[in-house]
Amino acid sequence: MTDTQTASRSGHPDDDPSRATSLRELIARLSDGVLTEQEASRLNVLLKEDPIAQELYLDHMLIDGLLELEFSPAEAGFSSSIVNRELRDAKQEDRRRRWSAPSLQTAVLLIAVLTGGAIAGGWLSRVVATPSPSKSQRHPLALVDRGFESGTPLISAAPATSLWYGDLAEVVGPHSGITPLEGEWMLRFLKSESEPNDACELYQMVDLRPMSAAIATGQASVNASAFFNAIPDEARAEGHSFGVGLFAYAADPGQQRHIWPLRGTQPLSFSGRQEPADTDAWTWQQVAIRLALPADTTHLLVQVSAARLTPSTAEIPLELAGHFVDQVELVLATQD
Amino acid sequence: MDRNTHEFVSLLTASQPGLYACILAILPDRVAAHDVLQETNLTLWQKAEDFEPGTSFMAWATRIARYHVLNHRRKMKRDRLVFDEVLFEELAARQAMRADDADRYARALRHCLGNLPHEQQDLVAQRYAANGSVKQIAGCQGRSVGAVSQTLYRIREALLNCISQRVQQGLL
Repeated sequence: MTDTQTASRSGHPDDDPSRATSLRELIARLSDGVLTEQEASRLNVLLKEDPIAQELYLDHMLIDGLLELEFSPAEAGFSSSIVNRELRDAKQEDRRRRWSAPSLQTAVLLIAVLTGGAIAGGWLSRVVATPSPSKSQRHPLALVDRGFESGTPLISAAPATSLWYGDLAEVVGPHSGITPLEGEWMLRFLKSESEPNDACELYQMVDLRPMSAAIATGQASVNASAFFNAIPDEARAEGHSFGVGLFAYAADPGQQRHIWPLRGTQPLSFSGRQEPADTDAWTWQQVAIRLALPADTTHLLVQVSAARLTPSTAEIPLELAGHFVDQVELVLATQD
Repeated sequence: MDRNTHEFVSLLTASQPGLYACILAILPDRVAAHDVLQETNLTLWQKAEDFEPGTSFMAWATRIARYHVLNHRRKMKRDRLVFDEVLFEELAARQAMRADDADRYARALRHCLGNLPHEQQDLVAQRYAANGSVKQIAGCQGRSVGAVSQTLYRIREALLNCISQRVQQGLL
């Protein structure tokens, strides 16, 4: 038994300052992705059969993992309620710059979607993704009416007749002191139209078949994000959450006749995140997630939702007091 | 539990931060941990009916995650594994007893992040942003990688203390 092991069993790592420092350094280096092979061996020695050191390690890695999800939208679920207004405004400016000079491909796609809708005498019921991927590794997917700027009430229960479908919602302008994050319109969640009564959920289907070559590599993923806000009223005291979900399918699940698109339909894969609604009506709260796409994915279902954290006992679904979503975005990431 | 209920979807989505953190602790490779999280989600979805309402979702989910981590370790080359077999088993067993902590910690994290001084918030945001790294931060700040890494460790330690206090006081 080495001196280090002897010390490790005599008490808390802090009892031996040099050992504790060494253990902390190694954990920090592992966390930060700079641990060498020799250091990994050393970490094994320090942790083995030392419950206190193991607790220290597990505590630390728990915080590490939680921080990663908090700050890294490209890699995992993400919410940015702590992002301040300046940072958000900077992001908006960046986004405006990007959209002010869209690529020809994106412009053509947007025109195609809009004119396609007009020709059909209404809005398209399915979104066609950008055609074969460019050399860039990130491809925005055209989610129709992503910011609800059509200003028309698109929502209905029937997937085949509208873009966003699901529970009861409406497209509104400034409402109860909340202004849209971008543009003139946003979506207001109203109430559930199916059991259980506590969540209002909206969906949109994205046809990924035009991207099948990139997805077939098994290396593609989708990042989804949406901004949420709620009015600060008494109903908030109950507690609410906002959520974003992604469901990958090998066939179009919208062909099935049901309101709840998941019922009886097995997705290939799933990713979702719900965040408690914050108490700040001045800033929009972002929830974002990532889903690695199985190679045989052909369709992607995007879900945005607002829900009561405490189940309601009311028999009739209660209307949400003022819960909104704006700027739903999807980006396909591929390994070219 | 019926997988199609809002309750199950809520449990699954709400568990994601804690579940990922649990996986990362026993499989400290971020790319692999994300892969395992996704495999775990799919299994949870498929086996939703096995979950008994009223029991700990996180405990159930981490058991399934552990199985996927084991599978992943079998496929990985031995020199890529940070922990040997014995230590992995010890850590996984210990982790299983703390499954519900992950959920509680995830809920307390945001409040504690808000309590950090602004420069520390900025450093954490840079480190955990997509493509963020200590090497990059060290280069920008003219500091050594080790110094930045230790600063980040102390910040995580401060967060851990804050979160532990809040959890103990029931402030979630």
